[in-house]
Amino acid sequence: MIPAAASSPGFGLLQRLKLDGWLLVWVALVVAGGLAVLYSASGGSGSVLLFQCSRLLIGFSVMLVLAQFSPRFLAMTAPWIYGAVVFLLVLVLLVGEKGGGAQRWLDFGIRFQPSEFAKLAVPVMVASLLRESRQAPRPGRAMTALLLIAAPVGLVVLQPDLGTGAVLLLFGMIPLFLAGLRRRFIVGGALTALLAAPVLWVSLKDYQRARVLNMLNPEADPLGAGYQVIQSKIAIGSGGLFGKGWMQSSQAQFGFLPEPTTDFVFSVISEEFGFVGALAAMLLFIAISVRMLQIALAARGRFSRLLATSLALGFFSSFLLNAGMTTGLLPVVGLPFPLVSVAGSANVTFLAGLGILMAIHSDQRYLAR
Amino acid sequence: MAIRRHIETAGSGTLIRRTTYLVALMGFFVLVLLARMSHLQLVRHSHYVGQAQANQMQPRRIAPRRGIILDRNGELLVANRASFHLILVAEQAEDVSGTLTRLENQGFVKTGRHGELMEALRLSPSFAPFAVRAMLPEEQAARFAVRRHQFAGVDIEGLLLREYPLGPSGAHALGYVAAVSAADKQRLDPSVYAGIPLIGKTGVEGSYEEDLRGSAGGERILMDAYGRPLERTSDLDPLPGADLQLALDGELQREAFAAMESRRGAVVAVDPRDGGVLALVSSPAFDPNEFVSGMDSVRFAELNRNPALPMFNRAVRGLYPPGSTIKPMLALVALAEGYRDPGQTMYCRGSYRLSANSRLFRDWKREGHGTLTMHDAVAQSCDVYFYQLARDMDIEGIHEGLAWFGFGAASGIDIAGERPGIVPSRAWKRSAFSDPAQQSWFPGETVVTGIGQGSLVVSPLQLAQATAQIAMRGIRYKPRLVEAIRDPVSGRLAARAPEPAGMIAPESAEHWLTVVDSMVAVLHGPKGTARATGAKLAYTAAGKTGTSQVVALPQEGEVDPGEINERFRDHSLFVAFAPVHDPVIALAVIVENGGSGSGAAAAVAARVLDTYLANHSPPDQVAQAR
Repeated sequence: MIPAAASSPGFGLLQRLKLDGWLLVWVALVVAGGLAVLYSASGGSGSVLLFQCSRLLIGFSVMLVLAQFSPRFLAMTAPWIYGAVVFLLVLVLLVGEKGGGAQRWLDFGIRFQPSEFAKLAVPVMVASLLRESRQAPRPGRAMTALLLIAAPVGLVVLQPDLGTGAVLLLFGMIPLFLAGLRRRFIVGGALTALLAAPVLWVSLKDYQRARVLNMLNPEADPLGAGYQVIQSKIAIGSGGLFGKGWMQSSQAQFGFLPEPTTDFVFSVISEEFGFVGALAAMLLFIAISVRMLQIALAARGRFSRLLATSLALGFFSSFLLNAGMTTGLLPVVGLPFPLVSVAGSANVTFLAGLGILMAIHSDQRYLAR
Repeated sequence: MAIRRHIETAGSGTLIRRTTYLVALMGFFVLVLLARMSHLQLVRHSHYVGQAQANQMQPRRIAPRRGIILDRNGELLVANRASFHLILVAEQAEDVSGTLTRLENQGFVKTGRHGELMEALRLSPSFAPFAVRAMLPEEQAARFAVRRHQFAGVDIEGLLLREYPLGPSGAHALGYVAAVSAADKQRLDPSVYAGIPLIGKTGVEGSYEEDLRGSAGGERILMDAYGRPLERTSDLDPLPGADLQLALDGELQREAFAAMESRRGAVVAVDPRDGGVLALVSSPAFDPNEFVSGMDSVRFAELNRNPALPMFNRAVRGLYPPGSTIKPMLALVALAEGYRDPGQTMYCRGSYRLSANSRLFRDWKREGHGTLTMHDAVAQSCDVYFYQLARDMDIEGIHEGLAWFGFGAASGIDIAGERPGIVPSRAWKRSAFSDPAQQSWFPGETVVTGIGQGSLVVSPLQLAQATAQIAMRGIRYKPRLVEAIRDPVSGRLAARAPEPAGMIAPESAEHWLTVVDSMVAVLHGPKGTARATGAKLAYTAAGKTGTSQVVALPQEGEVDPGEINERFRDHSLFVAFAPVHDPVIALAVIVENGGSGSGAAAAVAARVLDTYLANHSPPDQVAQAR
């Protein structure tokens, strides 16, 4: 078994590159399976595959680079990274490209979505801010953290991209929560959110409100807002236990399923490989997340542990959110399925996060020696 | 282990504990997701399989080929013609108004109807195909096929339309089809008409609807989300309708209609030997082809408002006083029932009185016909003879006798709408009027019935049938347009046997001879009322002239002032059969307001007889003609 061999001398190369064998194996399986599904979901399109490979290649390169930096260096440079991403988010609002009623993209020869980078930059910043205190963060520091989270969240919501904004808020709150944010803050925050909900509801754009309502009852408007979810549920449900087989997704091939290569790729997996295939995908994500948690728990230093735990939980929640969205449990908010959806910036960010995990891992291993 | 060492450090406890919370929370979400997946993929699997298939397989009906209609010689009277419609499915078009505009700009849809079409599209379901252009010319259809990809949601639909080569001349006999209307759908079994666009409304098209219709087939079309057909699966082949072969003679029908020269009236010609209807013309008529392409409401209202009633089938629904054409029938009844002997004479002084101080009934010939026998009375159409005869027979005798010839009852012809007419009697008058003052029968009414006036009204079809019965010397067959039906599956032609409808068997065959001879004398006798017409015939025919005072048809709308005089003229009638010894055709002609006597109607009758006998009379009979 390859994972068992990861600690054997034969894998000296991996160690020298500071890469984690377990993570690599699981990720490789997800990526390979994902490419196969994409090929089918795109109706056998080579160009989609080529695009995805190019972005994954960038992602793996970033992973390899980030794995080389020590966590202490990352903690120190966190404000710079954070600042750069916030700057890009401001830039998006100023000169960003429009797509689907929102301004989300920057195009510097290569198109990317800074809000995806923020999903990594924010937890890095928060973990860095809270790395000193061993106790629960003091109110002042907690407020600073909240502001640091709120700034990019606000910028993303302004685009407007409510889904990514919510995920960003979640990814920022995880390290804050893990660091021991006092209960009264949590309760107070929950109450504030509850009170703010009606205000937020009023300020939502029509299509955003429609999405929330539509999640509650997609069949109310089968050809309008509810169409995507209904077709996604048909795809998943018609897959059954073993699925229709590779390249057999009629829902995707005949165009009934919207966005089969991006947001709804999980529906294609479920249609073609059935319950068994979806379960296998879920187990792979559980395996990656468990390995990430393992590294987190073994990590040395508060920054490393806070960040590694946050990234592990964040990675798995990305999977859960997308799966919840495609199965109609959550509103359709445009979140990619990690490492499989055609979503360049998101996938580069996921792989960058894994690179940081590997850096943390080799840091711990190096010191434990 | 490393973990334990870190737990010991300050603050680790919280981190571990809170990590555990979040992991537990996610574990819970994993369970929720698993439950959801099992529900969708395992519990509701078959439901969603159905939905996925319903997504792709669009069931579609295939219209059957409607049966065609041929005449007795195999001439095509009603045909099917392939036609193309341009249909638009609103929900598949990105921009309906824009698509329509582009179709107009490229000449596929007529301009100027944009608003109207948009409104109609708005009212119809967005998933239903809507015809934005009916009957696209073939070259346009080809041009569109090349550019189909530019017009999402627009497609060509091929269908079979009805074609009536006879045009107006066949309108009332053959009828017409029209789109199945909402009212039709209420009345009919919707499962039968699913996929069948047209329904026969009148004439043969209407009464043989079930034979002609066939049954729709079904197929499923695998379609993608954009409505593009990928693959077809045929579930059920459509069953074509049965073809009909009529007794009608297409050429004769055209000729009879042409002979009417757009005057109001009717021509009915039958084959006396089997009741086959050779021609059934009502004039003026409409062009049934107009209904096929979808007649607009303005044109339809115009047809219905027309004072000449082109939509009214005079041949079976028009009721006219038969006038003197009733005389041969009354003569036969008189002979058979012993009211008269063939040799018995009477003196006609030109008028008739019931009693010394009663009203004077005039003969058409003021100076009178002098002494005449029954033969002379028919040939010269003496009114006084028949006034006296009617008086002797009494109205009850007339009523019974005319019933032998089928008057007063529907003939049972195989098209709808026939009216039975009225053969009056005392009982009839009592039931027809509610006012007691109008219910009693007056002797004068009997007298005028003797010359086919008064309350007696008959349809041209009944008159032709009675004439055919004289031609056959007693036997009358049920009239029919359809002679044979071709089974659509076996292809076998099933001929329908003639159905006898009435038989008159007087004690002596002499009686028939007397009546037939008197009718021959009408055309060929020295004093015959239609001797001018008879002189031109190349064969021996028997006939009878008639004029009847106007009892107007149901008139709707105003009548043009210039027409009033014409409308008060007498109707001109003529009945005939030929050749006299071996009759192959019997007919009745009526020209409304055609003026007195033989003129108008006899000329039409002669033209019809000539046309038919030129093809159907054995050469020897033509030769032996005088």
